[in-house]
Amino acid sequence: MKIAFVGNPNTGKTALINAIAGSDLEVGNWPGVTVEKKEATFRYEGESISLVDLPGAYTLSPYSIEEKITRNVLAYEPPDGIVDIIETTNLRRNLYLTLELIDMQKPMVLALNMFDDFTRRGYTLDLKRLEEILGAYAVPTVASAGLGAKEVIARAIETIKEGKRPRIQPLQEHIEKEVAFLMRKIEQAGVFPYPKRLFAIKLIENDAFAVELAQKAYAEEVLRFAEGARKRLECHIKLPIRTIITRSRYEVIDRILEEVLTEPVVDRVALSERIDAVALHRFYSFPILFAILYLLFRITFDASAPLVEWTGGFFEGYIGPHLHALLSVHLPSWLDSLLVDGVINGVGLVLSFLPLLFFLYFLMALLEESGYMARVSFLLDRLARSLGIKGNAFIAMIMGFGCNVPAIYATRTMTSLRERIITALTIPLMSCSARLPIYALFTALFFEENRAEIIISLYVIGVAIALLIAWAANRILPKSGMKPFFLELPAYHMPTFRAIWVLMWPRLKDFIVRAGTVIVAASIVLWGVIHLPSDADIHDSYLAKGAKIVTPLFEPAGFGRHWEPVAALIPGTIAKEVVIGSLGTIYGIESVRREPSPHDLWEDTKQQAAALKDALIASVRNLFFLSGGSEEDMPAPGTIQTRLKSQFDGPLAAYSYMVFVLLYIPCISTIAAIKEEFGWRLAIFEILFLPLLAYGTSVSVYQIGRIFLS
Amino acid sequence: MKLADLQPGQKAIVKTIGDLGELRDRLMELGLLCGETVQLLRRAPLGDPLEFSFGNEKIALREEDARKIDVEPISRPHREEKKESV
Repeated sequence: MKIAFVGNPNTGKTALINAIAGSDLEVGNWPGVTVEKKEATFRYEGESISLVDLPGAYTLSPYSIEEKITRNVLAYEPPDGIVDIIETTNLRRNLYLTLELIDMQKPMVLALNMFDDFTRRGYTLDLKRLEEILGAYAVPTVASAGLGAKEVIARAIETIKEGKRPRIQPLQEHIEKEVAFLMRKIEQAGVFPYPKRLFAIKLIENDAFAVELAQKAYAEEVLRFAEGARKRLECHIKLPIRTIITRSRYEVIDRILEEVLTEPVVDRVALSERIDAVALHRFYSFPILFAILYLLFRITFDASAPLVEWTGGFFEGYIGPHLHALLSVHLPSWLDSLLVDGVINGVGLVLSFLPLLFFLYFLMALLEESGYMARVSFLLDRLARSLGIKGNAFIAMIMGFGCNVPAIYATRTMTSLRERIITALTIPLMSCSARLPIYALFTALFFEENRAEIIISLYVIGVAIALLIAWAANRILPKSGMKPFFLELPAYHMPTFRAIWVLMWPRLKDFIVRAGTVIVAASIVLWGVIHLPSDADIHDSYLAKGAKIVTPLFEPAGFGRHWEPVAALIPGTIAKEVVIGSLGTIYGIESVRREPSPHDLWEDTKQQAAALKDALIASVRNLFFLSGGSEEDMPAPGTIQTRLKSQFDGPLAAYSYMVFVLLYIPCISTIAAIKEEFGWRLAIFEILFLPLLAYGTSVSVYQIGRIFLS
Repeated sequence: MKLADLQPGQKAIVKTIGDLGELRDRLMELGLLCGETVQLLRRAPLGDPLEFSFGNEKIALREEDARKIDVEPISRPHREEKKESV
């Protein structure tokens, strides 16, 4: 038995499914697009029930990609029943979708969500009467607290088993006559994936999808009749057809609401409006926005830093050596090296990122759930306008500072492919957190005096080039499929931990699985190029040979004399922070590994546990006291540092190298995300374009800098 | 008068919604129909877009699009709102 959960955006659908299915919730993607697909299968009284969470939709005439998915799933993979989630405080608008769903004539249950808010604001609802009118159960729920979830599912199953269909809510008389006649024509023409009544109405509405369905089936008669019906109605009522039908639907809704809804005498001035008076204020809004963004990144980096460090150390200093001690006895040395240096390194790399992404996703979800994200779009839309994008593009870009991968996925909420492409082109230039360790290393060596300024200047270069590219893309790309800006500003509300978790967990899991496989696979390949042919010296490896060939090309950029820094860029395509590790490997220092004897295991475990405790304490402390300690304490100049310093002719060359690192390619995971979202063409374009861009910029920086500094 | 000509706090009745493509259908489906009362809440600090409310709904449109909607004002600009925006 399959039950689809349908509802307007921001109605708490996912929270409700989560409350019903709990840990059974599976997150995947809809085929062809990477809109999150959440599904759950569980047993209920001996029967297997599967729940599908359809993306939020206002109506069945889609405006966004997500709405399209919802419509397509309902048409092509019809569920046995529908749970329609309604934001009770916004009943009128939500009932519009309900009426369309009723026209599908599937067993259906209404979940009146956020019911607590609704009563608190002084509204009352005659539930019995509403159920009578609609011929469907209506269950009050508070999904964020899990209230009513059990009843929803029980009622849904009951309705499906009884095969009870909701009562049709007739539209205006003239429309109904045409619909009835058209339905007969449809019956004669054959079987369509859309339920008859809805199909008839959508055909009269001239809905593109419905018309296409009829054309594909060569239902000429049906099409001809639908067009006739449309003309008759438009001629009779003297309004465009969409207006006629929409208006008629709202007449039905208002008649229902009149019977069942009692509004409070004075609706309490929504707190939301009072917050907006400040948050969207002419003078305060931008300082508030910048303060929030600053805190977002500050908390993310500060709170995660101790944990990131611990995770790195855990794999490098604990798992690695002990596994090596264990394996080296039983396995040939190359396999041991592959497993420890290749696989474990890769896993460690992925996992060391988790604390950072955890905090980033948590805070992003907090902003999204609270309703502030929509305000960010509102505030910044003016800037986006001249670039052919909309305010929400900046949200994706801001996310890119944390990690480019989720930023690419964030573009999918945009309404046109054109906007998505323009935004996606800018994202790789947002300096993500993985590039920061490289800047940290280099600035500590070459710019001791003004590290912060130098690092900020790199972010600025990235953003400036991104805006330039967006501007150019906006001029070049054909101006087709553009849709007007439209934004709903939902009421602010206090997010629950559960709601935030439901929003962030799929993204985190996605990262572990997707980025995980790519990075681990790439780490193995990388191990290959570094250690092959044979287990010889690093200087004779494929990597070194390749790097030595291309190195002279970088002469104009200021770092073309030594092959080592150039070689480190190649593994850097896997993930930027790998550059540092590779420098270590290439300079041949890291391989000096402590050889622990097995009985150290217990001691080491205790040590790791203690370090973890310290890291957690430090993390919590950083969370609350944003005081200091964010400047990474660079260890005393080690071998990497001295070698590096000797290989760059001064700060300008080092800066040019950092600029190259910033721009030359985001990382394999980002490219994979671009490929998945936009296809091979854009991915290949990025692979070719970004290195050229990086090269051009580095050379310009170095050459222009030389003129000024000499 | 056009929707974009309203002052912050001013209310108006929607007369006709012009050519906004699919957005027109979407606005109607959300309840912005002829005869509905709509209020301009504020302009974004950078001048565009504009925030409107009708029914329980709050939406933002760009000025160019709000120019395509004809309205009949029914109230003078609110003094209170003016004070706030100073």
